[in-house]
Amino acid sequence: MSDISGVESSQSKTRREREEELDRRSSGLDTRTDIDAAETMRIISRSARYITLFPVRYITKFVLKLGSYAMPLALLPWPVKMLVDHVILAEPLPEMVDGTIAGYPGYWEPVITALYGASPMELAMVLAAFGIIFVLTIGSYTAGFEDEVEAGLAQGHDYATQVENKMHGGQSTAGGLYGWFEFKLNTRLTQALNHTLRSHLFNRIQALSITKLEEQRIGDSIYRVMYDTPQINEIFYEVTHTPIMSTVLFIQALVTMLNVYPDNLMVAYVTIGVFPAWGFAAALFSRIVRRRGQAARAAGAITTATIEEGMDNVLAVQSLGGNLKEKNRFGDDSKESFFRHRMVSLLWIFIGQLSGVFGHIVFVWFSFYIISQVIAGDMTAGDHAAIFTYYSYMIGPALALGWLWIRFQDNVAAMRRVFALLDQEPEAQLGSLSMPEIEEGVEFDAAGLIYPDGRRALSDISFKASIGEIVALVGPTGAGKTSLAYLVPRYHVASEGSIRIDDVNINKYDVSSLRDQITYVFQETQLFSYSIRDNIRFGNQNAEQDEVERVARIAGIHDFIMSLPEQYDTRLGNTNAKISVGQKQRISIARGLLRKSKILILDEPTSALDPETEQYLVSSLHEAAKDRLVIIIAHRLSTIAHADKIIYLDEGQILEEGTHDELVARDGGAYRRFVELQTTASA
Amino acid sequence: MRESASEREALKRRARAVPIYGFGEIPDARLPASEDVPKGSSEVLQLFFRSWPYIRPFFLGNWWYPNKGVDTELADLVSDEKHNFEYCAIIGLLVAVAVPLFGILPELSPLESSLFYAPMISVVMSLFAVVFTRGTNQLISTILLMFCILGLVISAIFFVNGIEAKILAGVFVFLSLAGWTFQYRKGDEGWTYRLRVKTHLVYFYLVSFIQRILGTGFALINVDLLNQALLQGEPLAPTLSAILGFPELSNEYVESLSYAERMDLLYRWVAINLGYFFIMLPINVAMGYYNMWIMQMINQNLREALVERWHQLSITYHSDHRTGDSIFRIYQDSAMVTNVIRMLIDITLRIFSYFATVAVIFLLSPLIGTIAALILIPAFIFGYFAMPKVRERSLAYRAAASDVTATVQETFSSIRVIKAFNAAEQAQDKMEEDSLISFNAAYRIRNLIAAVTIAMFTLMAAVMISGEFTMAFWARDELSTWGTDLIALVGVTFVVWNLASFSYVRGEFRGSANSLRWLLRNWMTCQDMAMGLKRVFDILDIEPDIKDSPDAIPFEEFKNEIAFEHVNFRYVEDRPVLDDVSFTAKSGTITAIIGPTGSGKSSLMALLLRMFDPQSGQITIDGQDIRDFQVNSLRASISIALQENVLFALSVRDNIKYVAPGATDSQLRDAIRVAAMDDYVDGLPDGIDTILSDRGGKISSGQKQRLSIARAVVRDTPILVLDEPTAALDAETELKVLSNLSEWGKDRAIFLITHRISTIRRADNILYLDQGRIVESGDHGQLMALDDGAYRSFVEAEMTLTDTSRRLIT
Repeated sequence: MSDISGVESSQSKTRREREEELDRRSSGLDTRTDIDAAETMRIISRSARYITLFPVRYITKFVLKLGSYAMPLALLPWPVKMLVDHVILAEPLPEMVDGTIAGYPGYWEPVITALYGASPMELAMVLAAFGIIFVLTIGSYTAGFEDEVEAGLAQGHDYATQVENKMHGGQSTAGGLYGWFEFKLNTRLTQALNHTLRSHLFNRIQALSITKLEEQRIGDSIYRVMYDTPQINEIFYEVTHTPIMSTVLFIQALVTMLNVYPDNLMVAYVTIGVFPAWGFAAALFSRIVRRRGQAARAAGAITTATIEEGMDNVLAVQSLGGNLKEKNRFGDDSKESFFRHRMVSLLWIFIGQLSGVFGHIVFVWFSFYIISQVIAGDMTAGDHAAIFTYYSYMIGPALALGWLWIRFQDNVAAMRRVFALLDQEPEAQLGSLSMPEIEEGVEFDAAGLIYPDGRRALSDISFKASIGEIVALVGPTGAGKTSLAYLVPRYHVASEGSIRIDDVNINKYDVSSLRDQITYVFQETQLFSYSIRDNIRFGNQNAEQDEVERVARIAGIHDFIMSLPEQYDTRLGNTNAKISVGQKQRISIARGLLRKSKILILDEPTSALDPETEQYLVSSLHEAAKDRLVIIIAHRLSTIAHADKIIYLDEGQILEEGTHDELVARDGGAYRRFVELQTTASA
Repeated sequence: MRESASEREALKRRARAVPIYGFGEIPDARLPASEDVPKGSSEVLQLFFRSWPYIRPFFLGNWWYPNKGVDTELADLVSDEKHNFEYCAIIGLLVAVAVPLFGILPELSPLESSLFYAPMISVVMSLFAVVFTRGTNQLISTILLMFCILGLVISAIFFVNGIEAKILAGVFVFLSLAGWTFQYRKGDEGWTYRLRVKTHLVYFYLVSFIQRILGTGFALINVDLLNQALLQGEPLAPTLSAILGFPELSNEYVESLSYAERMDLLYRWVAINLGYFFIMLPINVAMGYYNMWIMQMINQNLREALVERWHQLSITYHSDHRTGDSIFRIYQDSAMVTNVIRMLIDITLRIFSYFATVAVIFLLSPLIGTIAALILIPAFIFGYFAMPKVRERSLAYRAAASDVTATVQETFSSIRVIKAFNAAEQAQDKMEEDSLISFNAAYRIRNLIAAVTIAMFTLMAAVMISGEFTMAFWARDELSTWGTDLIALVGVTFVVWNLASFSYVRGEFRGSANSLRWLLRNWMTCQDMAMGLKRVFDILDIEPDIKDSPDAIPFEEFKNEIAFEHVNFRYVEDRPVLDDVSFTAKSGTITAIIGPTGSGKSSLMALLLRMFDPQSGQITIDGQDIRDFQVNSLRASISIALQENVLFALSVRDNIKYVAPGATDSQLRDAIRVAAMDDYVDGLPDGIDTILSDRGGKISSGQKQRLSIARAVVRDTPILVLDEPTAALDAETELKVLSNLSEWGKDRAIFLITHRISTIRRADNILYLDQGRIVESGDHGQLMALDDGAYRSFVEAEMTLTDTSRRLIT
């Protein structure tokens, strides 16, 4: 298929198919991305369960929020009324009649009675003092001029750039000391929630098996941990706040209105009717909102993965001359991600506008009804004003409640992505036994391995390797050497047969106690951006400097390290110009040696070493092998030949097993042919 | 899946990890060094203006020429040498003369006249200046024109009554815009013209301005109709009744409205209300979308610039740089650019509205006006002390959030090692620690912002209470207001203090205080934005150490030879990596580079690719210094298969074609054949279209090596570098690959870095490198002939074993 036809075929795919392809590209673990209504409910209730982790703070926030609505309503109207009536208009203070004072609520009576006889000037002073106290405490001294506390910062136009305000979101509708307190508590609570969720997700992703992690792109994992988790906030707060607050506010307005207009239930009917009608209308959009939200997130995850991959391998990109290619690859992904987020936002703008129109139609229809009554003379203009004041009090909570379901959909889309990874089976905890120190060795008994995608990697592997031995795994590229070695620390779990350590099936052991005694040095070295010393001490943090130096000498890297200006304190970056691949390999061997484990597995550790260093390393390994088992995968004859046992693998099966001398002596043997090829090649 | 009991414990522990109320700890090492924090507002503004190049395309747009279509170049700021728009100045002059001549404007009192005619005349004059100047002078006159237009519009809206003045101001604004968008040219080919298109920011703000005017108009009509006619049955003002289509219901003809007339108007009211909302629905949706599109595209440009620059920076830079930091800068820091325009407009408007309201208050009462003006003092004090802290904390939180991203990325990318060393707990602790620090750092800046706004409000409110109570007394005593004549100018008619004037001034007072509060609040946001932009420009400011010289030529053909001449190179002082290296490599030969680990083999090749430049000496290709070539064209002519074989999460096909997008299928097949992996590729589930996972995981390192050889081969370049490409291959495969390669590389120059004797022996020239120096060079035979030679002992070390094995066999 030529390049051009390739492009055409991708265009002929439907949008949905391309979306699914994108989903798969970002994560092979999480492919079932459709959510139905029941699943949505489950996700909402599961997100809401996080409330139980913060009971006290959550309730405190709720009470504070209620207070921040109620207090200004209760306190603010009265000083202003007194100022206007009794200072500006200079009317006398109202007398108490039958134990009540007309025009003021009961809790304000003490203030009035205390002020009987005060001059307007004194009255003004007292009211000013009230004002100052209110400002200090709740950030407002008169209705219509209220402070509120928030600290949102500028953000961008896609999900990833909007998380900071979500993660650290805190606010208060009051101001002053009250608002400050509520704001701080709220911010810390939101942060605690996000910290908990993202640490938890991070933990679970780390615990996945290597087989699974190979299906999962790093960028996608980053996206889920960093940018999907903050979407829990809205569900966390709104799931209780909106229904309760809306109901309270609605009932409050309803009761007040019924006191004034006991016969006019129209407002109540209309506003109560709006909530389910709008909720139902909005619900029509719920699937598309979820779907678009997920698609935008998948595109964002791919973009993250592209940055991550390109930046982490900048050496490869530059030496291949791929600079422009990487820029374009990122540019395309970022554009697609922006486009998809734009689609989500377009949807939200549309739903918002539609909701505005819906609200307006109800308003116009209701106005028509009331105004025609005014025109007919059944009501006055004043009634109209009053009824619409109550209408505006009641329609707000009703619409908020109607909005709730649709508003959650976007969050549900993100939380599904979070829960999907949280729910992946962690690395099989097959057993819980703690493994005692290994004394004898490892025994493979008819072990086989089949990958999740059905490919067979190994079959009928049986051999025994004891402490004190060096065992070499040999065979052509792709023979299954690494897969076999992976079975020992249970990176892969054998699909058939068994692997036993000291006669106990390794599946019975707790993974972590098993790996405590096995060190695996990988083919491809991965160092951390710590100092060289900390890199070597990665598996044994308490090791002394002389221990570190000893293993560095064995790995043949000590002299090099000492020649660096900062010696063992030299910090390594992720792309290292300072040290060569061979040097990195030696550091990782030193790291493996420092960890005093009973089994040491070296996966082609010597490929980049020069012969001299290699010889030294091999003889050191013999030294090291006295009280441990060393399993080594190698192609080099010089590394293999001294092994106590050589296992020759091909196509996932053991063809030959024995010492170098035994195997070489075998006529027509695979190993012999392998040796011949190398010697003739170098002869 | 439910959590286990121990996980539940961990969850509870994490839930308590963020302090419930306190500040939490941030290690000093994580705080920015004070010299890194920009100082002063001017630096903040500078950072804003630096983002102009990324915003500019959406403001200036492109020229559209008849016959030619839209130009790809960015349009000129105003106009160029050739095109002109004199018609605007001339029309402007005509309008300015005609207006007083024909008495189009109602009679203006002397004060109003000077307020209105002065800016109008200045607009005409600066229009001429813009039309007839070029370059810097044109820029200056354009800025002048903008100020004059602003003055005209303000006077028309605030100081002059009557719709005519407002229309006139609109005509001048339209004229200036027209000259900016439509320009003509009279040249040899006759009259041609051009149109400015794609000036998205201008379109957007123009439409939203019109939207706002429409909205205000609608609200005015709505309120009047509802309150006067519908609710009280009073007839309408003449203009309103004409607009509504009921001219007979004007208060010129009727005293009051009948039931039927009111019901007619009610239906009209319903129609207008619904109609307005249905017309506005698509416009609002489109405008929301449009705004987002513009902002995203601005952001996209900045993101791409960042990525491009990063990939231009040499490896030395990247060795100290964390990948997660790049992610944060590309996402969070660069997104700040989308707010620059909005913030600048917002701040300008707030400053303007603050001073306007203060001026109005001052007219009614100089005392209260002074008080309102004095609120500036605490605002300045707060700003003076808070802003440096906001900047510092912003940098700290951005760095901390970068660190979490980096830690997460590093953990996931080294998950194998972490599992191998059973270090999951360690990694978890590190992540949680970083996460906590970032939450603490974010809390600090947000808490500061909250504290400053609360404090500002409290002070402001205290001042306002005293002001309001003073006014309350005046209102009680019905004192007369100040500046009555001037007040009449503004259109407000408060002669004495009463409840109405009290409410009015109180409203204005609150408005001015609110403007100030939001000014302070937004200015704090701006500090944070500027810190984000700083982190972006910090990267964009790094000059790549390797870049094209101004007169660089493209690398076209490799004919004869590559020569290293006395090349010296080191990464850090005092540690020479290459020391006086000289050799030549001719086309059609294989050069093997061998030597102990760390002897400088890979660095030698990195110099050839210009990943670095040598400190002294030069590298030439066919006699031309490689620094004279364009870097990209040079790298495009050299293929490399690396020691660490990085594959990407693309299909096998796209991986091989990574930098050779034009490769045909037969070239692809050839490359796969040379790399001896046809069988393997055919055996994959989707064949060549199988998508690999991150870093090409899942496939063995031998296969990765062969894929990267195929990737190098498919580029079909005259120079090929193989950096230990076969280390992970078994002998048989290696033999096959190498013989394929030597067949393929007949007329190319091939460099081989390897330890394997079998590979080395095939080379035409062997360079033995030790501690950065070429110790020996020659072919295998020559070097073996040297007694005690380094190469010879190297070969012997490797051969001892194989010799013994051979003896065993034979």
